[in-house]
Amino acid sequence: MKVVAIAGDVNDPTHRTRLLEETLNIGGVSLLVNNASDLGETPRPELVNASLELFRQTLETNLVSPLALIQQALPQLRQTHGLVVNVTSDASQVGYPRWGVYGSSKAALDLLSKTLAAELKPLGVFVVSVDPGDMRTQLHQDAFPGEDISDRPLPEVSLPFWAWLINQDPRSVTGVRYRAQGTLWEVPVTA
Amino acid sequence: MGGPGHGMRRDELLFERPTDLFASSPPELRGLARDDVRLMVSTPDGVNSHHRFRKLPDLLSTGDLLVVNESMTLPASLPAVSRRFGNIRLNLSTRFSEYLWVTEPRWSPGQPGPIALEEGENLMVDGSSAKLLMRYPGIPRLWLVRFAQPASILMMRIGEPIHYGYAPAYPIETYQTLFSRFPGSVEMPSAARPITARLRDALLGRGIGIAGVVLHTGVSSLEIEAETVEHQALYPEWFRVSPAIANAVNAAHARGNRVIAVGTTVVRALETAWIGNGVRACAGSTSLYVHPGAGVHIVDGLLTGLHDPVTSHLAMLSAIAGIDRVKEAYDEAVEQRYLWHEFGDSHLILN
Repeated sequence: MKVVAIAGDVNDPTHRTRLLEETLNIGGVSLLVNNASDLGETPRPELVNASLELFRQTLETNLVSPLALIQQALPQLRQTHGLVVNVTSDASQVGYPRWGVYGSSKAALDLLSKTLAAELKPLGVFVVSVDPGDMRTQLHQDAFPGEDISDRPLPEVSLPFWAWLINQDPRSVTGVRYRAQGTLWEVPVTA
Repeated sequence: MGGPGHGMRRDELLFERPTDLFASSPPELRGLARDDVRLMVSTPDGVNSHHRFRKLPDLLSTGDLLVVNESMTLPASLPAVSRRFGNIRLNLSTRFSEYLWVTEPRWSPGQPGPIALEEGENLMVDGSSAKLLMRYPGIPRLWLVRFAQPASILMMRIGEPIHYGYAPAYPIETYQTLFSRFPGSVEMPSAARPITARLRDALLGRGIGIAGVVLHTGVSSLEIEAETVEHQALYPEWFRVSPAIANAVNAAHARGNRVIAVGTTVVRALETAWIGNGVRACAGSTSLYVHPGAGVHIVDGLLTGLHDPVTSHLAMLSAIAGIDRVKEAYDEAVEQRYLWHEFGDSHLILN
């Protein structure tokens, strides 16, 4: 299997166009994972003190650009009956102090996923949100500057979930919000 | 998972059990009917009593609901060849797709790993390749494997039932119960094995209900390796609790009757479906670990076999009855020479 990595900024329309030209050359995108995320201002501020300019930037990266990529990719996704995965966080659900910038961008992304799932199902395009759980990544370290995060698992802890997800019938998972490290990966029940 | 820094220690689940108490053949081959095996009943007052399994209807009450597992057992043990290690076995555990399974490589039925296999290595299975993708996170004895042929074809052509050192492989029918309907388990959900058609009719005649969930079992041979029981990682198993069964379970409780799980697999499925005031219909893959720190919410009793020391099954039994009651019952089972494992005797633990 050949893997091609193309580095760039998801907020740059030229980069998004380039990505989709490449996927078109190999038969169209069948799995679109929006995992590029911006933690926002660090150290993480309380909302009343947050820079509005940096908040807008976070929303641009975490919410607007994923939608832009989905819009641009839609013709290909319709051809492949593809699956869109938006990577989210438990910060989107809880209201942890000092996580409001990142958390609200991810909460909006969750609703975007759910809405798109309903709107695109008739077109044969499927959408899920996935919370990978706490992992030992640069973003997680940036969120806890100077702290020892070595007790968090490496990202490969989530690989069984990804293997499971891409082997499900996308019709049966669309609209669901998954926790990759959770104890239940649910599908709709049949009688 | 679990609380920080406390919980049950691994060595609390150790006990002595002579190996001549392993059942090496099914009761049918020992001149007995399936429902002739023995049944120990452990009640909340700490009393253990001894019966024939076929007395089960007399030991339950009208209105009680038995929940069985309707999963059918597959011939999930495949011979495989490693370039470096020669002939080994690859036991399938959890299906992600026809081509992608969680597996347990073993030297032989009687001899587990570890085998020093490497990521990216290809085994040969029935003349085609099986690629070792990665060790399962937290459970290094298990590997995610991608097969070049559909696993269902491999099982049909060269699979035999998973078995361990204490028993040979028997015909696949030996590993089915009266309730086996949906293929998918790699090891027999054996708790219902002693329930014969005549016994089912006797239970129903007494007004004892029988309902079925599905949970496809993975390999059972895992010992807890973590020092703290609650910290052991478990792999997912596919399950389904249908709307009708969720209703039956909730109705039994609403009437004041007991819900008795037939097998640890049923506990896992029902506890996954627990939503605070009952169970809901649901399906998917569950990695839920039922241990004393998690507790049980939905089952009032468990009908099961006798389990090995230091297994997650024993942690589940302790969640239901407390470690002290489980240990007393197991001491008595050893003293009374109960037989262990899937062809052995039974244990009903009531709360």
